[in-house]
Parts: sequence; structure tokens; C-alpha cells
Amino acid sequence: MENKWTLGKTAVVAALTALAALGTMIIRVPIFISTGYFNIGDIFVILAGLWLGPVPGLIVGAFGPAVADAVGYPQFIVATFLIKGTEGLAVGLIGGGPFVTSIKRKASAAVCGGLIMVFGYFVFEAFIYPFIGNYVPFFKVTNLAGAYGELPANITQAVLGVVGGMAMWKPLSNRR
Amino acid sequence: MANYQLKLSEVKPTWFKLLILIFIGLPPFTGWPLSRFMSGNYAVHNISVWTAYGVFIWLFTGLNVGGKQLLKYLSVAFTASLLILMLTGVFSHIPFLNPEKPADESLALSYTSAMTFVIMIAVIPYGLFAINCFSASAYVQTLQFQSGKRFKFKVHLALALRVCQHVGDVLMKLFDIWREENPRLIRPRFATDLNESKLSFIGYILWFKNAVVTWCFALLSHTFEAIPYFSEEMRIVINHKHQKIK
Repeated sequence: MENKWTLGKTAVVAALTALAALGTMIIRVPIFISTGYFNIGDIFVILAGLWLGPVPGLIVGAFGPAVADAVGYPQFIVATFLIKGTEGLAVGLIGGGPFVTSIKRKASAAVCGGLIMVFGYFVFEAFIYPFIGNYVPFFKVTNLAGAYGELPANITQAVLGVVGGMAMWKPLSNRR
Repeated sequence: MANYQLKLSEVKPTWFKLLILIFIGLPPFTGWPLSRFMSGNYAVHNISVWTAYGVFIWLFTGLNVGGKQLLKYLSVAFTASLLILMLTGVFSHIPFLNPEKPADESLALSYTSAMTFVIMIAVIPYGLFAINCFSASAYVQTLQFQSGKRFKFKVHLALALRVCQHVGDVLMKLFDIWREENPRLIRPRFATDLNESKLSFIGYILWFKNAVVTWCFALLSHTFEAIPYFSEEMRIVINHKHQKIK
């Protein structure tokens, strides 16, 4: 895949965005304490960042999972848009885009992306949503205890995203 | 159903069609106006409100696309929703993922599961219908007679729309493909394989990992196989335009 934005890149980014939405929507497990859910959408977000670079990572991360949140979890759309968008962007920036093939660098990028997701949801659920919820009841869905309770599920999700994303990037990395 | 067919996909202009789709699909995004009819204390009542919305969505989608296509959309919706129900049941027994369960655990589990199930079987068919409401081919044809600064952006947009519609088509066939490619993962006659080992719990984790990875690979490969054709089609549109300009 060339560095400039080609038609092929648009097609792959659109496909990964749709797949990230599906991955987030189809395998989801509700977590009672925080009213959030566990999913496998991060696999495609991390894959997009590792394989295609920062801008595709940002687009796939911001739009795919946020669309999936519309089904049953609309209060998380804003958080997901920002957190997963940042996750994809960071993975792309640290991973070095499509022309870097160092596994160490790609692995550290994927791990950073996973950490951003875990940290981002914790901050949103523990501080930002409870604060906004005081003014807009729609967002009053989580609190500090809920954010702590969701940490194990989010860490598991991040691990699955890193492992799955790396596993998928490897065979695709030869196809530019 | 064909006698009373609505044709939202033919509504012009496009922004008006988009407005109608957004208005009908508003409840999953915002909760409004269903939240006005819901009550905090009555679970059955709340589920009934969403069920009524689901019936309306099915009827609306069915009247637009016909019974046969609606059944295809519903097969995807029910497969995904039932998968979520099963996973919710299994994962709720893992303390690591649900450290602090509510006091009336089974009731909360049933309510959350039922609500998620109803919302998903309502929204997935509507989502698939909404994407297919916009004809990528018609858009590409109109692009051939357009020019201007945003021409290339519009071509990329048409390509993205076509790919998203293709992912919806792949999803409808994927469960059959996945089952045929991985018979040992799902057919009942192989289910006893997992219980042969004393460490059957690890077997089930490996089964889950294999199921997820093969499903993701199937999704990727069947989605990507059509991309070169779509890109080529759009390249022809751009080249045709350039030749005209020359």
C-alpha cells in the first residue's frame, strides 16, 4: 500500500471500520457493575493502526466501535469515539505505519494502544461521566466503583485486542 | 407484502431520505422517545416498550425490502443476539470479569440479557436496511456526470459506501461459511472432544480462541476478496473523467 491516500486504502479503511463495528457488536458481554460491555472490536482497531498507520487507525477506531455502541449503549458513543480514535492513532504513530516491520515496535505500539483504551475508559467512567451526569442524566451511568470493577474486563479486552491485532497484522504485513 | 411496498430507497433528495432514517432510528442512539414510556421499576414494561419498537422496525423494514430479504436480515440479527445471550450467561460465571455482582444477580442478568436481545433484534435488521437504502451504483453513475473540487472525495465516499454494503452481504453468509470451514468447532458430533481431557476447561478456552480467530480471519478474507474489483470500478470512473477533460 502506497503512502499517499489511494482508492485501495479507502476501501480497506472502510472495510476495517465496518469490521470493527461488527466485532464490537457481535461478541459483547455485558458487565453489570459499570453498565458497559466486553467486546473484540479492539482487534480491528489495533490491526488498522499497525497495518495502515495513524490516520486510518484514527478513522477505524473512532467510527467503527462508536457505531456499534449505538445498539444498546448510546451513552458510551462519545467516550468510545474519543478513546478508540486515540487508541488507533497512537498505535499508528508508535507502530510507524505500513513501512515499518519491526515486531518489537509493532508489539509496543499495540500494547500502548491497549493501555490507552483501559486508562481512557477508567477516566471517563470514574470522573468525566459522573461529572457530566450531574447536568445531563443520560450520562449518569457509571461511578468510581464501577470504573474499578470494569478494569479486569477492560484489561482482558486489551490483551485480546493486542494478541488478535498482532496475529492478524503478521500475515497482512506483506500485502502493501 | 409486495402489494403494500414502501420504497424509501427511491426517496429524493438523499438528505430527506437520510433524515427519515435518522428519525426512525433515533431510539437506539438517544433513547428518545422510548424513554418517556419507560419506568425504572417495571422490567417487563420496559422490555415491552422496546419489543413494540422492534415490531414497528420489522414492519417498516419488511414493507421496504420484502419478506425474503427481511428474513435474511433477521437471521443475522438472531444469530448475533443469541450468541450474545450465550456469552453473557457463560461469562457471568467468571468472577474475574464480573467482580461485584448485584444482589439479585439472576434477575439483573435476565433483564440485561433480555433487553440486549430485544434491542439487537430490532436494530440489526434496521442497520442493514439503512446501509442498503443508498444505491452505490446509482451514486457512481451520477458521479460520471459531475466535476469540481470534491469529485475525488465523492469517488472515495462512493467506494466506502460500496464496501460497507459488501460487509453487510458478507455477514449474512458468514455463519454458513465459517461453519463449513471449521466443522470441528461447532458440530455436535465433535463436542465430546472437549470433554476427553481432564483439563477440559483449558480446552474450552482454546476452543473460544480458535473460534474467535477463525471467525475474524473468515470475516477479513471474505471482505477483502472483493476490494480490488470495487477499487478498479472507481478507477475506471476517475480515468473516464480525466479522458473527458483532455
